Amino acid sequence: MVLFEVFINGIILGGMYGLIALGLNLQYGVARILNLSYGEFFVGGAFTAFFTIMLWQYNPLLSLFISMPIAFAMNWLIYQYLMTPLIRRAPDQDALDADVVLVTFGLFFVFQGLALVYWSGDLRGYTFLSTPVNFLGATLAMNRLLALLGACLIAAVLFVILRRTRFGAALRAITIDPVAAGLVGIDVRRYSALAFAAGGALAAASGMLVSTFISFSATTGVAYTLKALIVVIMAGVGRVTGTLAAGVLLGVVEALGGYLIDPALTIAINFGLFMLILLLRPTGLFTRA
Amino acid sequence: MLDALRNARAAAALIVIAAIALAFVPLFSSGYVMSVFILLFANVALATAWSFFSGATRYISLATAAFFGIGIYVLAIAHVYVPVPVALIAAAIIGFLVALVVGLSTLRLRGVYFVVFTFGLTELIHQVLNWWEVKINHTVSRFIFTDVSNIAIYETLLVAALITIVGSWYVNQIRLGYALRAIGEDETVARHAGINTTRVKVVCFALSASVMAFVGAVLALRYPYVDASIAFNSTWSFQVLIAALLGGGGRAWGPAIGAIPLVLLSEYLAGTFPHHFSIALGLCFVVIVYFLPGGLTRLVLRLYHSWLVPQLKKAEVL
Amino acid sequence: MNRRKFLKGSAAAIGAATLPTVSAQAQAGPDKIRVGYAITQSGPLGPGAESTVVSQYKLWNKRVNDAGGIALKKFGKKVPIEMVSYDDQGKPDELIKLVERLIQQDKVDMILSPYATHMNLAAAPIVNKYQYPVIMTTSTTTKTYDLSKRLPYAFWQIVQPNEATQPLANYIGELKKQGKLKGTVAIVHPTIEYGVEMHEAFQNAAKKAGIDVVFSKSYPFGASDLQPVIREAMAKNPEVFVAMSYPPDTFMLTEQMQVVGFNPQIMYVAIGGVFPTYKGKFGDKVNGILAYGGQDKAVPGYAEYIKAHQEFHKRDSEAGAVSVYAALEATQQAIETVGEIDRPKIRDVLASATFKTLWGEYKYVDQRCSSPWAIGQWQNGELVGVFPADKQGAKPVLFPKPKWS
Repeated sequence: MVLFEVFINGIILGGMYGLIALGLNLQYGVARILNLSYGEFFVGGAFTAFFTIMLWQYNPLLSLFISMPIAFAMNWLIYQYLMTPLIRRAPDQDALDADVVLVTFGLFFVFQGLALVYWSGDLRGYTFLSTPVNFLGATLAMNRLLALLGACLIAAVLFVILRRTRFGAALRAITIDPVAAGLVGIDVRRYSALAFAAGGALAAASGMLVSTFISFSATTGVAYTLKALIVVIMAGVGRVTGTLAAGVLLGVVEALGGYLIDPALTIAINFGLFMLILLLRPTGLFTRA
Repeated sequence: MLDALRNARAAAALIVIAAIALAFVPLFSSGYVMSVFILLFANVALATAWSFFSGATRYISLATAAFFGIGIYVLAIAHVYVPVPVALIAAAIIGFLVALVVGLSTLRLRGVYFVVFTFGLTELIHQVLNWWEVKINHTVSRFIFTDVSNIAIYETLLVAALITIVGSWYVNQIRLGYALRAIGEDETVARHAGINTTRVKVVCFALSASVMAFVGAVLALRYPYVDASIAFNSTWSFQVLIAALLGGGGRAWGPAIGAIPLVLLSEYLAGTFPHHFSIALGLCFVVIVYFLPGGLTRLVLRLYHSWLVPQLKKAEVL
Repeated sequence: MNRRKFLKGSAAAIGAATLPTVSAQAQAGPDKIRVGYAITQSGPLGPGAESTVVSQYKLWNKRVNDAGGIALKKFGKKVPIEMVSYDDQGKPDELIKLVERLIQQDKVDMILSPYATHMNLAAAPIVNKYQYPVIMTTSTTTKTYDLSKRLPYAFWQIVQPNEATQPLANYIGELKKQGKLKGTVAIVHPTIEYGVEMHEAFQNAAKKAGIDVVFSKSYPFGASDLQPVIREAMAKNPEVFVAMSYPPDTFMLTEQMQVVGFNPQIMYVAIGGVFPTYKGKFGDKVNGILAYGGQDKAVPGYAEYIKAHQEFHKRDSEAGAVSVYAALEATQQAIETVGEIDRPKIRDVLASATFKTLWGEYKYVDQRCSSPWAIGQWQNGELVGVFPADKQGAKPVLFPKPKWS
């Protein structure tokens, strides 16, 4: 019975991992920009939710109507005005990656610095839907369940867009081969900018959902960037819908491992699994060999 | 050819003069100035060692903090039992051996997969070591009390930085260096050309790791207290990566050219805008990428060829 | 301000080393006292440093200057403070360098402590070398017992693991004797130095007090889900739940205990349990929870302090912050007793005098605060000190802890 609950908890935890990684995979998989400032938008979403409930006393879910459009616009601008010049001048992907790492790392510093100045370094947290829910005898927290549902919803919407619309077909074409996509008349830059911006908006959304159960501060962003990156690499770059599955796998293994071996090893198990998968399938779980 | 020879001689002379001048700095400077130089040398050595492998082969490693941390831990454990110099050498050797094992199992990964793998490796070592300390030793920290002076640390790191630069330059001149660069250009072609790519990669990765472990061990002499989160702090990996990218590739002195201004710039910004430090540093990165493409190496070379050489010719030195 | 730029500074320092330094200090005495600190502002420890330490430094600076400054009786005047601060980014080598910078480049008169045990331990040998007396405010390790003799210029403010855990174990033992409890305890801790030492200290104290630790597990600092650990502890049905936790986990543990409906009769959380954010998040549910640190709001001066704090920071203070502020008051009183900036003399006063602070009256015995608050408890939405029980202002423990909701 306890084992079952641990298992379910692992799924919920994994849903959170998948959630924070979805946006990054959209950014990195489609737009091919490894955005190291990704976590700052996560933090932005969390803070917006915090102010919405603590300062203005509204439902924190409403904060999504503020944080997602802002994050979308900011990421669109970043792509258009900071990334496009780099893409134009880069001779190859390696050179572009080096430039992108430096610029987005710089942006990470700038955003984190601004957050520290305006929001201070205090630890923040609030209580929202921390009510227990009984699921087949396992006790779950409503807010964590909400994050899992959010992850499923976002993944489903992305799946439908990518598989069932012309827009999605164009994005998939870009993911597979941007040059060829340009040759068949797809406006690669415009679509990439939209995908990048959407990824940023998802970062804000995941920040809001996670902030309902994990406390945070102006400096927590980078930890989520790295966590998201690990899930993206596990799933395979560009495998947007596989991201959620990879996250869930990571969560379940972490929870079961922690329970069966030693809870002090959960993070080690996490990284161990990730590295094992990389060694066995060097380009991710959900890529065709 | 003659020009190249003359350039090499000039560079060698410059390095020797700089090294001698730097060796005497401790006689005239305060503890603070020495602290800055110590960090400077450590960063130069790390960035050069990093670039020696990662710059040439384009295997971008974030495992700097892993080897650096191994060095710290070897020193922290060993200095109780053996003299400090022995502990330092042990750190370099253990760093080398760990990197051999890691290299053999991971160097088939490429691109971003390798990057993230090496980051994960650092975290994994951090977590497992921490767990072992808690379970077996019932503590997570170690104290380092030695009577090694700041001057000894300074001189050791100066020598380490110089050896790393010269060694990296030397390897670039011999077969091993060509093999490394060939791997960076195109690994498949290199393999078909008869290069044992695995051996070249693993040996160079391990050499670079041994320098990182050594630098970690020397810096640890300044930490009275270490634990796994101090030793395996991944900011080191990022800092070194950025110094090397800032310097630009292709030359043995490139990473040093990146590390020196980065350390001084951080120092200047931290002193001038202590509360807006990270904003200012971030903006600097952005500015550097847009206005200094190719890193500082290219800028220095351009200045050298377009300005200094004509000037010297005019003055009939050359 | 006129902070010297590094390049210019180092050149000047190289030059100055050969020249005798001429004291520019006029007979009238200094016109300001420069106080410096390097502390973590970015990185994972940034939030704790801000909430507990930096906020107090800023408030102290403002209050002292609003009152005209620190009285230097040798010159018969009050002198304002000027603060110089840096971010050590959570790295000990950065901290060591910055402390040297404060002493040698900025030539500050006094230095204040950094944040977190390992950073305090890294700074202590340096300030000791340059003979700057510093009260280390946020360091808890059994190792300080050995350090006092080695480092005469380092003072230690807060309660150390032995004293922090003994009262709780003894109290549980007492309840067991009275037949109110069977004395079963579950304990969890993160695998960081603080958690490990507190855990060891509590285990030892529990053995002496004759209570029964039925469950003990550790978890990694920064874990994303603690429900499995809580479930395991709960399965042992302990009456007492003790978490030697750090801020992010303290919050998560408390929330997840509510979710699974784990209602021990005594609950202890360590760092973070006294934060205003903790009460802000959980509201009245904090009542009855015991936490590391404590305070007595009836001490003289507290009302003025909390009013100034509210005005300046727009939020409530917390027990840990109060202990930092007390260290600042002690430092100021030591300077005023000496009447000039003579650091060896200030050190001797700190080591011997009795100080009246927001933490009550105390001395530094072997450079350690003689009666620090060990444990506080939330009662009626206020944090009160409960242990040591004989300290002035200590309140009786509320037992058993009310159930969640």
